[in-house]
Amino acid sequence: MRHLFLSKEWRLYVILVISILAIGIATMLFGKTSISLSELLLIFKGDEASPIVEQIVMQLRLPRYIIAVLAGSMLGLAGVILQSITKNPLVEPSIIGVTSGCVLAAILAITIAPSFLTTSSVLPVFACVGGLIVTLLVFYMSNKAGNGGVHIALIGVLISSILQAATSFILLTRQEAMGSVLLWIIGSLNGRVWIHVYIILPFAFIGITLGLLSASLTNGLRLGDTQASLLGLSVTKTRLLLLGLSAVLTAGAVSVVGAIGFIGLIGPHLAKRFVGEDARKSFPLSILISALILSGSDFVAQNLIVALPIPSFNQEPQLPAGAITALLGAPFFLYVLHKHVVKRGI
Amino acid sequence: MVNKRIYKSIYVGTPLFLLIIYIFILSLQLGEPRLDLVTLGQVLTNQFELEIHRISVWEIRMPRSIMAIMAGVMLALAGHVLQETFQNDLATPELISVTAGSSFVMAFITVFGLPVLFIVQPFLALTGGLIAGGFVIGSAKNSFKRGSIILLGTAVSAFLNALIIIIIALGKENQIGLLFFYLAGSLSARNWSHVFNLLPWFIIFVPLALGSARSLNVLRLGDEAAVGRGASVIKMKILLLVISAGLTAVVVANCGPIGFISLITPHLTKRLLRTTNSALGLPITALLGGFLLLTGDLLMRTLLYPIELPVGLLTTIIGGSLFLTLLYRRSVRT
Repeated sequence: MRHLFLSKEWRLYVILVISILAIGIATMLFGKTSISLSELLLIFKGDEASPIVEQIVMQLRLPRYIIAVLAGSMLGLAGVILQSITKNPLVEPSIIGVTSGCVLAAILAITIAPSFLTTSSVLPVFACVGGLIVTLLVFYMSNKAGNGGVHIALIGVLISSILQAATSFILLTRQEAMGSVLLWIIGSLNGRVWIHVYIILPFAFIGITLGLLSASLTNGLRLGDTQASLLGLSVTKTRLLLLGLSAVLTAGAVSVVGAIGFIGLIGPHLAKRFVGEDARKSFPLSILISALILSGSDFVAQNLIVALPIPSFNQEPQLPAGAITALLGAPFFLYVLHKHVVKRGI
Repeated sequence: MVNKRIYKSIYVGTPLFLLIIYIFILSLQLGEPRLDLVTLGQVLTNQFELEIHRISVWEIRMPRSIMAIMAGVMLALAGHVLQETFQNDLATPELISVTAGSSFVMAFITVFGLPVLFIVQPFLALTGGLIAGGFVIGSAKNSFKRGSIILLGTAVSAFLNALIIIIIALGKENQIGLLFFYLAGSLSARNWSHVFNLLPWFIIFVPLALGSARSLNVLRLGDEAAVGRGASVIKMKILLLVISAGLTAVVVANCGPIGFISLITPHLTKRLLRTTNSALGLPITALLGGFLLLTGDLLMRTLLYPIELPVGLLTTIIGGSLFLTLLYRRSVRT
């Protein structure tokens, strides 16, 4: 056991899990109403605490935190799967347009389909269809176009901006409120409660399990097409399976937290830097890093306005977590671009 | 040969010009109340009695349509100049983040209610645009002629858009209209004061852009050939970038970031004229841009009446799809 814990990836796992839990505790404690640690302990012991405090922690902050961790994990896994298949560090669900595809499909379903079909638990299914269509379209277009690297991101970015405009179009014709617009355009965890946990949970459970199991398949693919088929791996089928899996993971997360971007970019990159290309190590690590980033971003989004009380600001701010992840992710994307593209003059 | 081409741009330009006039008249007629040509004529010559007709034509529709034409012309020219300057048909103001930079500055001023004069705002927008655009160009280094500049621009724009969203979500004016105005661009509720705000920039920068044809044609020969002709390439490029950013910034300050007009119009021009000569191309680009934005805005305010949608969404959906097809076709061919 001692030997196991000294290995590099296990140390990282432990550090990350502790950080995620620390963010969790911080999320419970801070916010518009601060809660003391002793009160929090009382609540989790099941003892009598003030009902309002218990309401805030159990009904608002806890489900929100769980969703942040699950959605972050799913998007991080989707990102690392996509990057492993394409061997392209620029690829990530929101950059290649899959996120926007999921969002548009979900919004279309809400607008067009009869209401019994669009209870929030069926919504991810529609989102899945949208995500799959965009995934296949982007891969088809960039494959035919050759020169995978930059091209797939380029096509994805264009498709993404078209789909986003279409989403805005529908939202505006439906005259949606600010909260819902922020959710679907940039992604947000505002107002997410236990119902949403139940929606995301099956997708998270199945998706993450399958994703971790497929890590060795991904390793097989990395050997190159010839080697992989010599090992008895059906390359095309495996690739399609993994693409589908990443679309399902994205769709499950996006149906609940909206179009949160760039999450699937940072996790895989850092993971590969720490433990190398072995998918059995980089997959779990990417999951943990991404969960940490999203839960951390949401914590910042909730507390930034409390920390900065500027008088002219709105009293009930709805700062979307997606904006914080974009502020982190966009410069990171720039850095990856520089490292892998600009320097090589591609 | 040259003469033939000049005739060609006249063949293309004249119908375009007439088309703009036709759509302009149509845009004065359509809407609520709807006017027939005779009534419109009476309203325009101030012979008609009803006040509502006078207001809807003179105070609402006319400034808006004029605004659409001017903004379309300016955006299209900005795109054409930039694409030719950097010899990259992906280098347009919105894709190298000039637009997002200007938009961010304007959102900042609006939401925080900074006491900045209406006339000064475009200058600040220009500064923001130049900083963002300069950053993208600076970090692109040798990848200029390639697609990666679009990705660099996307990253910078995503960052700035996230800031815009945060600013709008934080601010007191918690309204969706504002959000879409600074993310998508819209011409709704533009009045004469906006037109007059745009006008000086139009008068200065449009002739400058049209006059830059010679420099653009020299740059097309390649940097070395341009130097051989005694041109200072870097100075020229900076000047052209400023012209392009100037055209963009004032439009963004008044209408928000209307997407893809500057990307798609120069492409259409080159297809129509089958020449890369900027002296012939620039006027056609200008007309085409005015025509596209005017038509787009007319569609967006009449099709779904009484709901009115930002014209930037339509230009992004149509322009983006067109461009995607172009890009795809070309890359398959090569």
